[in-house]
Amino acid sequence: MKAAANIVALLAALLSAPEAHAHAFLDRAAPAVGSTVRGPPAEVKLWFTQELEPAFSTVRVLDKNGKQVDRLDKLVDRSDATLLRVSLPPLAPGTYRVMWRVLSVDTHVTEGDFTFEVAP
Amino acid sequence: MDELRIALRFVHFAAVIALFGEFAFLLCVARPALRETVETMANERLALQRRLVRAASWCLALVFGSGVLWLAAQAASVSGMTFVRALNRETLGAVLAETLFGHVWIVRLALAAALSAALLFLGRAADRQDSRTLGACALLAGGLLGSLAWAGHAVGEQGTDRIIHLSADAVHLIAAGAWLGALPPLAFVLARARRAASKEALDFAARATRRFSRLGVASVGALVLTGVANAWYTLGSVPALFGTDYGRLLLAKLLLFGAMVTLAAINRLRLTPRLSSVSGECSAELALPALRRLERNAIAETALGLAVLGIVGTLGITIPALHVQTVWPFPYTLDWDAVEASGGIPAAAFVAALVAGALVVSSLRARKRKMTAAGVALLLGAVAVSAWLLTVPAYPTTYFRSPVRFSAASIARGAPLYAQHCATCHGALGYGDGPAAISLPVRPANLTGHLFHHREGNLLWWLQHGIAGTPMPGFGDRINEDRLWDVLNFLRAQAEAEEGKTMNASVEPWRAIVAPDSTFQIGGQPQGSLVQQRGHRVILLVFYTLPASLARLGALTESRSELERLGVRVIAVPMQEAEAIPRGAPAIYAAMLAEPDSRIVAAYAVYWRTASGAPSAPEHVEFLVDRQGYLRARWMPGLESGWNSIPELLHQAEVLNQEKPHTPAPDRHMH
Repeated sequence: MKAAANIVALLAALLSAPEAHAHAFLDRAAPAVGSTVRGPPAEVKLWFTQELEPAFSTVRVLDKNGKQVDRLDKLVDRSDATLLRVSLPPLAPGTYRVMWRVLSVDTHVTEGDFTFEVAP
Repeated sequence: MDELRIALRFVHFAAVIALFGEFAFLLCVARPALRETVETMANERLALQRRLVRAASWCLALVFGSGVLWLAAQAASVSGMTFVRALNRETLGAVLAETLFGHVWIVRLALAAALSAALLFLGRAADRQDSRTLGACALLAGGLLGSLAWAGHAVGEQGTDRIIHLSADAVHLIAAGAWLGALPPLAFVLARARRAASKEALDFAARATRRFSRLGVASVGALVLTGVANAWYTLGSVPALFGTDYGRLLLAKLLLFGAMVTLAAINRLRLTPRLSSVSGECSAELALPALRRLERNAIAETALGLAVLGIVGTLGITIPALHVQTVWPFPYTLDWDAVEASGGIPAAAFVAALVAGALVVSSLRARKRKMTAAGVALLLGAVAVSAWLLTVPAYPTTYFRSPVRFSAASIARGAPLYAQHCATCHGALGYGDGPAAISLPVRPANLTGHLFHHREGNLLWWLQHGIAGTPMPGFGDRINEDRLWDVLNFLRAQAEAEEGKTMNASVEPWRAIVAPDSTFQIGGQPQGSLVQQRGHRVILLVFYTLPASLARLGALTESRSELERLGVRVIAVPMQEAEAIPRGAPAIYAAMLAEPDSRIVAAYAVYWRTASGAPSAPEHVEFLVDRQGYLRARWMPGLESGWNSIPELLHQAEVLNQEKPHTPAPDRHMH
């Protein structure tokens, strides 16, 4: 019975989801999604679940009036193709929106946005 | 736009498969079969080769056309422009030069160009035996077909998974080409043989059919194996087959595939023997009707195969099931966990099924009808009993996976919701002993017990819709789904905290008590997170109040180099925002002082409960978090002397350092 249960558990494990990904989804970000940072961050980093195509992957940081405030230097990290980054000038305290649109190597486009807050 | 992309993918796949199939048929079926037959079939060889060149040229033209349009559609998709506006040199150039898809397309267009040249050569020299050119053509066509794997979901994987998924996909494509693509030339050969109706022609048709049958069996085997591998990556689970768009498309594809295999089995087991049963002495009366049926079946299989390719075209632009929630369409599901509750019956059913299987096999061999019937009845009985045992009620959300990470922020959002909506009945600590509990007809569940033996999707459903027959109400109309996932994260923290309430200053054997992830910020440094420390550092997570903790922080400051040497990173968080130690305070090491963050304090407060209840508000608590992200030891100065002695703390860190690593803590709840 125990052995049968083990076999069943093994089968269940084989049939359950592997930690694999197609399409690039946002895995995590710094500053973290929805978080508050003390003092202005020097850049925004976005880690995706899949490698990105630098030529067609963009990220913009907007202030609460919708004005783009990043330094327009978005790039995919040389040593980690899942990391998209853009640097920031010193930001005033307030809420900022990060908008991204990326093309993953499997030819699919995904997009999304989130906010973070800069505390004084 | 989507329809255009689907249509282009369909045409492209069909054309490349047909192209490769022509060569596979000629090399693996027609030529070997011809070599075995008499000399007078020289005309047949010529006719076949001419047909091949003609068909392959048409296919290649389609491959080129659809390939170029696919490139343009891709450019439109990635640039966000319309199809027509994307047709400019800059956009197309960027896609070709700067994306993996573009690079793959350059290689494939080059392969197609080389193949056109080879076909021209072959067409001029149709009367010569040119095996080398044919072989080269087959390789080029195989390259065109297999390389499609690099334009699909497989390249999205990383590391070994990428290699496995890409290889499986490429082999899947080649096998599909060798079977489906070789059906049209097979039908052509069969039709010619039927019209000629000569002894030689029938003999050739019989040999070709047998060879094709072998090629088909090998291809189907490869398709099934690689198909399972591909589904593992894109589907993720069996329920997704019924509960997602991707899964339902795949299911339809499997049904069509099943129909194709059934036709192929009829061809192989019933019709092919009729061609060759009198091998050498083919009787035309027997063979001709069989030939006609084989030919019809080949055409029917081709039609089914085209329908499969229509689905393939759609699957490529559908989000793989792994990334969307599975919405379960049935009121019941099969769940292996139900087996455990039913004692020896599943084992009996399993044994019965084995016996029945053996009966059926042996009786079929011995041709004993009654025994076969008994075996089949027993088998059906065993299946019915198992299904009945495994069947449990299910909800649309049963297979949902939480999209909300198990993090301090989420637990901190869930905690007040629990206090407001749940604690009256389930109790402040989740024991099911809230003030309203006594007045209820059914005792509220103790949420610190086996709660997470249930699927998180079922738990979500009960939070949303309540539980029929109990006083548990639904909250779906008041609290949105994301906040309910927060409540579930809080409940999970609460259940794990209950298990860890005996935790003390000594590292105990590993238990699955996950340290909730949290961001933290130290001085002007960029925001960090606990998860980032995994695999690198042991974390000493200190919650402090002033002035009670001042001496302790001073002691930690003094021993920072020993802690550093053992790979321990100290992160100290003030319990109250107002009590944060100002940066640059004398005698306190600034690099361990995190900015105040009420969320991490609220989340870790769940883990303050001890065997004698929950302390109201301890002044100082420290946790050791191991390299895999689990809470392993806890020190509360009021309760024991413990880490007051720094050597004792260092000793515990050493214990963690000498441990073998266990599975990293999951970010989400795993069932």
